[in-house]
Amino acid sequence: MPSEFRSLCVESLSKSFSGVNVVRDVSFRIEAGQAVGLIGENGAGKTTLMNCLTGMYRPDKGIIRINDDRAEIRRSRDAFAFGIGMVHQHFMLVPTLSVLENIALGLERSTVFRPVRTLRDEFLQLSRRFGLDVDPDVAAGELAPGEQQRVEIVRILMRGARLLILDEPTSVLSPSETDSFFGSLRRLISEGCAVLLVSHKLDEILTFCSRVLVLRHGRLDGDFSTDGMDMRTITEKMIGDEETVQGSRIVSESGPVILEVRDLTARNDRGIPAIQGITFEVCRGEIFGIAGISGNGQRELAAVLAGVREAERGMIRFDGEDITRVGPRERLERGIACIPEDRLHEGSIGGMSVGENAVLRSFYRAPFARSGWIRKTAVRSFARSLTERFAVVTPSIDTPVRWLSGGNIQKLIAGRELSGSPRMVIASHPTYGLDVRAAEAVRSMLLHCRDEGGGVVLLSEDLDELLEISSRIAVIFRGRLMGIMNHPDIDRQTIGLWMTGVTSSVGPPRPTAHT
Amino acid sequence: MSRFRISITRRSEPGRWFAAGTVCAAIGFGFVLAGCLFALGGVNPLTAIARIIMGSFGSLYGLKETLTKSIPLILCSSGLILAFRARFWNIGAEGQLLAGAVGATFIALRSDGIPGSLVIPAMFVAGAVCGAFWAWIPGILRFRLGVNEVISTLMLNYIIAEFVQYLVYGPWKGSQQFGFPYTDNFHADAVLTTFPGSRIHLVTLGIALICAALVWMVMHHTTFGFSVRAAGESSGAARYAGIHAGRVTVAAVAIGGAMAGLAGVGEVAGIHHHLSYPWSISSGYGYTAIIAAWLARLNPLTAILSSIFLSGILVGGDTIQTAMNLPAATVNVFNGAILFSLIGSEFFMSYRIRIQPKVVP
Repeated sequence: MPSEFRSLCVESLSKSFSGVNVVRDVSFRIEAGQAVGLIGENGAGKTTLMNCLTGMYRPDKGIIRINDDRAEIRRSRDAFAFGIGMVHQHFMLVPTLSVLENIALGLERSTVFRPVRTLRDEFLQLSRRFGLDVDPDVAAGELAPGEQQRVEIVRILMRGARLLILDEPTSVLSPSETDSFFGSLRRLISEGCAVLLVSHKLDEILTFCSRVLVLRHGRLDGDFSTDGMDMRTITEKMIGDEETVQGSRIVSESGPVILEVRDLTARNDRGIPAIQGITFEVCRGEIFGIAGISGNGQRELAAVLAGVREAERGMIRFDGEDITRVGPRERLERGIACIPEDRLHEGSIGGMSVGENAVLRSFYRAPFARSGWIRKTAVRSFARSLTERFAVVTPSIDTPVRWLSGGNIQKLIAGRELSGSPRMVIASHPTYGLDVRAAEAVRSMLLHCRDEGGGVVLLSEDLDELLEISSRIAVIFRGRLMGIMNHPDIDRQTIGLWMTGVTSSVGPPRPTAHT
Repeated sequence: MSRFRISITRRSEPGRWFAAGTVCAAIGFGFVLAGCLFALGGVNPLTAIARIIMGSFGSLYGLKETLTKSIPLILCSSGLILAFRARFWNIGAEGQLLAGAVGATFIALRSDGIPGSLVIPAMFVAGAVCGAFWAWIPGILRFRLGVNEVISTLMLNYIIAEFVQYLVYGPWKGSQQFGFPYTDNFHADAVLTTFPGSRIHLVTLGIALICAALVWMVMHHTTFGFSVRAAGESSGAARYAGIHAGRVTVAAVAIGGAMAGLAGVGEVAGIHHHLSYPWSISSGYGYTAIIAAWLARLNPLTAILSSIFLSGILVGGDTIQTAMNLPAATVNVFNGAILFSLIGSEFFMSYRIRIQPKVVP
């Protein structure tokens, strides 16, 4: 591997958008062979900083030096020439093209005719060397997220990247995939690459990185060695000296059954069975967690529970009544709120204002509408109180939601759904991609709902979150529940095994009826 | 190496005055462009442009003609805005207008049994129903069978145009029209009153203005408008909100079609007083209205202004064709130059362009 990359040095980098300083006077240095973490709350400027390094944005001020020589990075091609490459959180592969064709795209040295031929050997060699094996002839769209990520990494290596910027790379990986992923990164580092790891998963930063950069409000708030740091200290560094994460908050007593799901079966958009014979019960005043690696039917289960996807078989009973054929609007009226997985396409409407999104599910009824006419004053005062109560940061309630950060959109959705004191909440990945503070805000909203006697179904990939607040946890794998565990006998290892489809040696998983 | 660097960045929603300024600048640029083309054709560009302005906005006659032609444009563009807000790409206002004309003609030709004062209202109702039906077809095709509405609405334009020809050459061919493919002239009860000394059919003009205002009200102040916008912006979120995106969209499109149908009633009852060739009933109003709608950034009140402006362009083009003895294509070239620069100006509204001196390293 050519070793032209020795160091990246950023000096007083600043970038502002329409007068708002997003990145302010940031300086740091990364040497070849280092793994450095970058953490910060949502909106702290991480993305902008990375975009400056990869040539997507031009910094207003500041100098970037590669190997101590000044580097002018004007576009992404320049970044690669200087050895900087980035893997985005959302992969940028063309789904219908094969892996090798995706690699050839954008590679300057690929030939005009049969571009793939010359690349095969190099691809196979690189991927094998770093443990990033993928079938080079499969269409990228058919690959699992973990495999797509490997392709992305090999692709930027082949384009000349030696400093790898990785944005939330493990959010799509299962625990075992995560281990092998970090193994590959370690091999890359041992061969002279450098890694800048952007992550909300602080434990990964602690174990993998030797240093961590903390961004807060666009400023570099710290450049620490991770030696001797633990989760508590790193969390404190990230959220500042304000509140720390609370401990376990499970209550064991719960009320009568409110939601009963029997033998639920449904197909996904492509007509393939996505959930098969799911059975569980949720009680008043409990949080029922559903763990699992994404893509195992959580999305469809949540949609069927919310009433936006039809159940092929089975029954949903809410408060003693069969609601299997009841639509989403009536379910909401009966007291079932839901926080959908995709906050940008299901939970909110980017082109509509904060105020309109605040009443997105209740605009048609009093007090927001009377005989077909929207009562703007009622909508506005509700939206204003909602944004205040749930600390949604927005320039005004007339701002299109599209301009808000992910965390604020999620707080708006959660606030809207939970403000009507629902009796049941279906929450899918409610804290995904949120910073510590926003995640905590959403979580405490769920806890509040539980304490008021509501039942909560929490579908999440974040095991720590599930363990922290769920009194029972089920694990979903390939559309089936592998088993359900009750607090305090929840065993992390068994959950991990169930998530990968392995039934534990303790015994076969059996659906546990709640007593 | 040049010493300046041009940077292009996305800007947020343009302000009202900035947008208006950009549009005016674009129109000015369009005139310059058209002027160059006139000069190439050996015509004094200043004379030509002066004639256009005189012919459309600068003279009483021109103004009256401009207003006349703006009526169908206002109706069609208001209706299209309803559909476009629901993200339904209706290219079929032209066909819906013709359907309305057919419906009105049907009533007009059989007006004997109807009390005189009810003929006109009946014609408007029939025209609206026919226009709505013609728009409902592609709506239902899209949501039941997944048929792309751009293609179906466009094709339906041709079908209705052929149908109109069939009617005027066949069963509805008038006995007193000396063999021309027209229906018989409408009875006086079926003819709209015009503003004295002009062809402005006032009733339709009033309906058009009311429709534009209604579309604005519906969009911003009713639950139906909320549902239409929600369904258009995000079908996924609309589903969670309990909105039947299909039903709401088809309703919006059909209402929009009804407005185009009203325009068709105005053309046959106010201008021609009979049904004739499709291209003489509507000189592409349904298509021009698409531009009017977008030029107004899908705001129906602004669409009144953009419709009047585009109507002026049409009228001005006709004027130079006759007054300066230019080929018919000149009109199209002129219209094209204006529209080209208007559409190009969209870029400047969405992006900020800065020219900065290069930093010397």
